[in-house]
Amino acid sequence: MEVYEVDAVWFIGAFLPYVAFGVFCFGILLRIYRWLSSPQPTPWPLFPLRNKLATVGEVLTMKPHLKSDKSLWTIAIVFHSAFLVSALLHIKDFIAGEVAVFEGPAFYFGAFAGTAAVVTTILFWLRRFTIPRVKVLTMFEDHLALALLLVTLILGTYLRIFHVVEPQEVQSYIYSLAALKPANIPSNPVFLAHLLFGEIYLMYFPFSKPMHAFSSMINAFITNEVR
Amino acid sequence: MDAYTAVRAEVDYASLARKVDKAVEGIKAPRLLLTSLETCSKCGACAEQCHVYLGSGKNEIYNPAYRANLLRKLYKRHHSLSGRLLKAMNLSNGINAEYIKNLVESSYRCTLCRRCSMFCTFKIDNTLITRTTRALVSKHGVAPSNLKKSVEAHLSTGNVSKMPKAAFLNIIEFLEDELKEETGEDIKIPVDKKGAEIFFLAPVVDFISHAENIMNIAKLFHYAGVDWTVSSEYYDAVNFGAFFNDEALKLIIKMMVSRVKALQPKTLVIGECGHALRVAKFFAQPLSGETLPFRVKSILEVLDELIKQEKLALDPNKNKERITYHDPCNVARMSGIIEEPRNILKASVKHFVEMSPSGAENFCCGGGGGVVVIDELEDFRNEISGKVKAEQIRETKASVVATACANCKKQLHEISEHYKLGVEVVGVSDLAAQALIR
Repeated sequence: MEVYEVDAVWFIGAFLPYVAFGVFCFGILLRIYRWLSSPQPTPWPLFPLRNKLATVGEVLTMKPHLKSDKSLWTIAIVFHSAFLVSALLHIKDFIAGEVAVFEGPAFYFGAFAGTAAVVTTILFWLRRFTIPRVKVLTMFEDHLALALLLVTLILGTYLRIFHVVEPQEVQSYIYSLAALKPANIPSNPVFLAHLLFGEIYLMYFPFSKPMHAFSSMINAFITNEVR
Repeated sequence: MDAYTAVRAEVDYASLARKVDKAVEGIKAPRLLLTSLETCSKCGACAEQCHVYLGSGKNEIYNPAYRANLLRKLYKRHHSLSGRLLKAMNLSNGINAEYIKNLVESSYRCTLCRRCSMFCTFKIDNTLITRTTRALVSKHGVAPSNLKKSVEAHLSTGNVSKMPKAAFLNIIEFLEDELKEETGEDIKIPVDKKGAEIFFLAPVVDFISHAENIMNIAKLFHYAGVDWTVSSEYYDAVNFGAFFNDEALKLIIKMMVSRVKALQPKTLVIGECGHALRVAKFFAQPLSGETLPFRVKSILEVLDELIKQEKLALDPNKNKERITYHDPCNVARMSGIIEEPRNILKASVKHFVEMSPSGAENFCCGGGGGVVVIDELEDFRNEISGKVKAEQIRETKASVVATACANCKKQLHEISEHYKLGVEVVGVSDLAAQALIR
């Protein structure tokens, strides 16, 4: 068993992952529980009503925003799609490590998705300075959300494009975390920085507006219910 | 804020600020309010869908999310992680008198139309946040005077106009005489009939200022052979508590339900009043605490059914003007009655032209959410909140605007005068009655 000194690498790679994962999971569950255990005393529908599939589809495709703000919708769809591709590639790396036949495309998908996510996050942030009806709404928490995201994404995209760590290294490390015996922590500073900001984002997520990932679905069903 | 003032009474805003701050600290928010306060991404997309924002020339104080943020900041002071930390470290200031005054006034610049929510993927409900603000301050007696007086009148006399039972019965008798004179037939307005198919409930103002609407509905029911009644114990469909006061909302609902139940009808039919329909359809059962022993329908649903059942013979050539339809927000977007008025109008009028946008996406008349009742905001309604609707009407080149809500009718009359639109405002039932082939 590898024994680490209590230092930055240990803190970021062996201690914080568990804290971040725990806060992320329990935080989300607690927040959703708090929402769902609040009563909805009366129906509060918006017509026309949609069936369950259409309700989910409307949220996932952001259809209302397509009608209300096409440029925002475009940025948001590209951002969320890129985020999804990145997330899937992370899962691939965690579970399967290097998959020879897929590594070529994975590089291009990852590089493109990461770059698209960075660019769209910058565009989200620019909107907050350049569009009056957005500027007037912007508070510190909005800048914080974007700043954390942007730093994490820039570091991750750098890792992907410049192939800083091998997928096998990441897989080995993740497996060691899952076995509760952290080991083989990649020591590259860019990797550690990406990991640190990713952990901070995971801990920040349940307490912030990215929870719209869940509230949007809850609200969509509330406004579709007549009882 | 702006140059208008909805609450002109003397208010100790400093004291109100402390009370509201405390109330928000202990707030037990319903689910949609919680998620709306906590997860709005502040993207600003809702502003471009708001008639008040657009009518003002995009003045940011009328941005729906900006208005919601006024309460959101207060909420987060007590309920967010950062807010609690700052409070614990004594780094968070409470709200001052100026802030609460802006909060109160801004809550009466929203017409509670929910169009903003319609165009939000997250379905953030700025209306619900605004209405919560109104409810929080109304608990301490702060609200526009007409709204307060109307609710007090309703609770003490059963109707907002304080019309006594004897006067109501006199009106009924008078309307029957008018119907006889007009049609030569004995068209009755049945009163207090037990077990009727339909208990008809209209805004009391329709019996006073729009009596032709009641007469027209009486004609339609007569020729269709409808078994119906009104009640001399309860003859006002409105519930202004829905706009600002939870306690009044529930009390008036309970009053309505008990008086309607007393006549044991099969269906409660709400006349041309948007918020009354929404309250009866969606709030009456959960807030009265009992299962309603009657269905609830809009007069529009009933007339549509009668036309489909061929119980009403209508000739659209009897209404030759170019006619458009204003979808009341509470009827279309919030109650789903969208096709029925169109079916009625297509059977009743020769030239029907849609506004754009229309249906559930229609713009508010500018007088919703009780704003039309607030005399102090007449200029705001005309200059700002009614502007987009006036432009919509002008674009249709219609000479008649039909609608199915008493508050919308008042607002549309006002903006027709203010913007010199020269349109006549009528009820959907009125056009159907005018198209009757007897």
